[in-house]
Amino acid sequence: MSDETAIPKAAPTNGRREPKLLDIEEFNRRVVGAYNRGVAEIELEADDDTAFSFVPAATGKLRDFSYIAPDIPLYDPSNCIGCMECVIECPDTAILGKVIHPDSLEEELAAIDDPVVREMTRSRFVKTRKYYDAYEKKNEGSGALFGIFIDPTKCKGCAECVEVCDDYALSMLQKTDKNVPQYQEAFRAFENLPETPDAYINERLATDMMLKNDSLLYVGGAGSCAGCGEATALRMMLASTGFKYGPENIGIVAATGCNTVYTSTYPYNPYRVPWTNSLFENAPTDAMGVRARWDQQGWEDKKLWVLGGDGAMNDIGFQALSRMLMSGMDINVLVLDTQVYSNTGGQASTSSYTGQNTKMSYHGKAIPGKTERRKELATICMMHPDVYVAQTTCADFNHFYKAVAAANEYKGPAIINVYTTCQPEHGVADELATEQARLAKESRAFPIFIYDPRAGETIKERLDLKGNPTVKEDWCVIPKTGEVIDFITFARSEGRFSKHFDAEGNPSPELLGAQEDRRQNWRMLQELAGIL
Amino acid sequence: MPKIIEYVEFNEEDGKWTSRKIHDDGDFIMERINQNEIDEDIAAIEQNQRPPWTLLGLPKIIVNGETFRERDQV
Repeated sequence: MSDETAIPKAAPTNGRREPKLLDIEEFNRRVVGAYNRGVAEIELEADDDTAFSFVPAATGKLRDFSYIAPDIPLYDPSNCIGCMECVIECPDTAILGKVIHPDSLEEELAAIDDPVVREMTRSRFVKTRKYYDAYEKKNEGSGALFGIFIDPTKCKGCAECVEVCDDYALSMLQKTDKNVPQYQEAFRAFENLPETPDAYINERLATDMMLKNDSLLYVGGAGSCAGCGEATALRMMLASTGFKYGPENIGIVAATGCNTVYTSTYPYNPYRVPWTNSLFENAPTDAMGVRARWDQQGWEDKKLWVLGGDGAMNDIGFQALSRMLMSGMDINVLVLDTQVYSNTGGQASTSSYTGQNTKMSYHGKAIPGKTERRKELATICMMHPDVYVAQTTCADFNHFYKAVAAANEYKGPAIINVYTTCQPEHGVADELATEQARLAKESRAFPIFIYDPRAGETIKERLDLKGNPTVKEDWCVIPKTGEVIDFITFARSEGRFSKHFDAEGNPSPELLGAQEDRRQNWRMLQELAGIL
Repeated sequence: MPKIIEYVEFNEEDGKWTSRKIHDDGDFIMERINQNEIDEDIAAIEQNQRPPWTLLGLPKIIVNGETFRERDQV
């Protein structure tokens, strides 16, 4: 038998035509159109596009969620200071900011025929100290207006933006037949405005990044729950990476989990960058193959990110992760730590807290919730040589952005473990992703830190606990009130621990054990950082 | 709490106008801060027009205890 007959050069095709790449316009019109009209099952036949599991980039932009929530944010420019926190924390890219010079705005407004739409658009903008006064002070006539716009087709009504706005510039408003079309008109007008000029984007201010189109690489339209903490982490990682390296220099390998399900609910894809999903357990090793091929092609500077939940990284893909971290390859990992298998209905993972009520660790007569201690993935990763490690939350957006920027700059493996609120499994309200992440940090449930091997030779030189409150103490104490924020405080605020409190609010012995576990974990970090 | 707005109110006392946003049946109140913006809103109201920022969304407006615009009323 000759070599030619032993190894076919390609799989037999039975005379079928060669696969072709997607015709994006045709896909968006025919396939996305049919799904949008709710007639996909009737009208669409099986075809190559479906067979290859290809979905064009950013089809999520074409998805309309206007009908799913009863309320929508109402923006009051008079209270707005242009902090951008609402834009950063929105999980669905439903609220966007814009900076524009008054003269440019008037030129754009002149092109709007409908006087009501023109006035609605003008009224979104306000003079803030940040973008107007500061620029006027430097150079008279250079001050710009700042505005916030809400996309009703992307907003799921979680009210996260309202919750994070400390200046009371946002409220929720009941949708009506009258105001939903208004929101659509105003957002169309926003999309026709020019991009925020670079002159108004301060590269040293991480909060400004989402003013730039290259940072908005997650367009929304994903099937994630209202207020999902994971989606915000994905948006922020992509914003930081896209801002510096551009969308053409990013790729994603995602481990199966919630993140792959809500970003690939056919035919809707929220990503503007290429991404792939192999299995639950092998995303890091899959990424090693991608990295090797990219490097062969001379693409050493492209940024490759692996995404996965705590189930994929702490448990089922833990070996693959450890293998990748030892490879020395330039791959970044973002772990979306929800402390539970969110996608499959809430089973305990090794990241779950002691006492946590989950499927497979139901709190009842036999067991008081999860009986094991939490596994600290980030600490384990620190013990792999020459790996950059960070643990952070989206609530600490400067810390988060700093960690992502450093991971991208680091020539070698980097991993960021991020606390991500999972509303249905944690038992918290839709608007509380940021608030609960902040409380997780303050209560030592989830301390934040950065471990940078470039910072020195010893662990204490490399490990930085900055960003945690009162780092020398066991627990955070609020100076004004004397109130102690400990793990019991955190547990009291979440449904997953509710069965550990009696009618008077006293915690169970098991929950006090969980508190001790968190204290010991914090003390270990203090010791490693040279604080104890 | 979801902080769903009920109405925007404007009140005049000793020649000075203040403004607040009332939410959740009055359980949550947001003070409006920027006096220049409030004064511009009053200028519009004095011309029997909605404050421009309320044109999008059309929340109910109460001025000195009296309804100035119902919800959705332009």
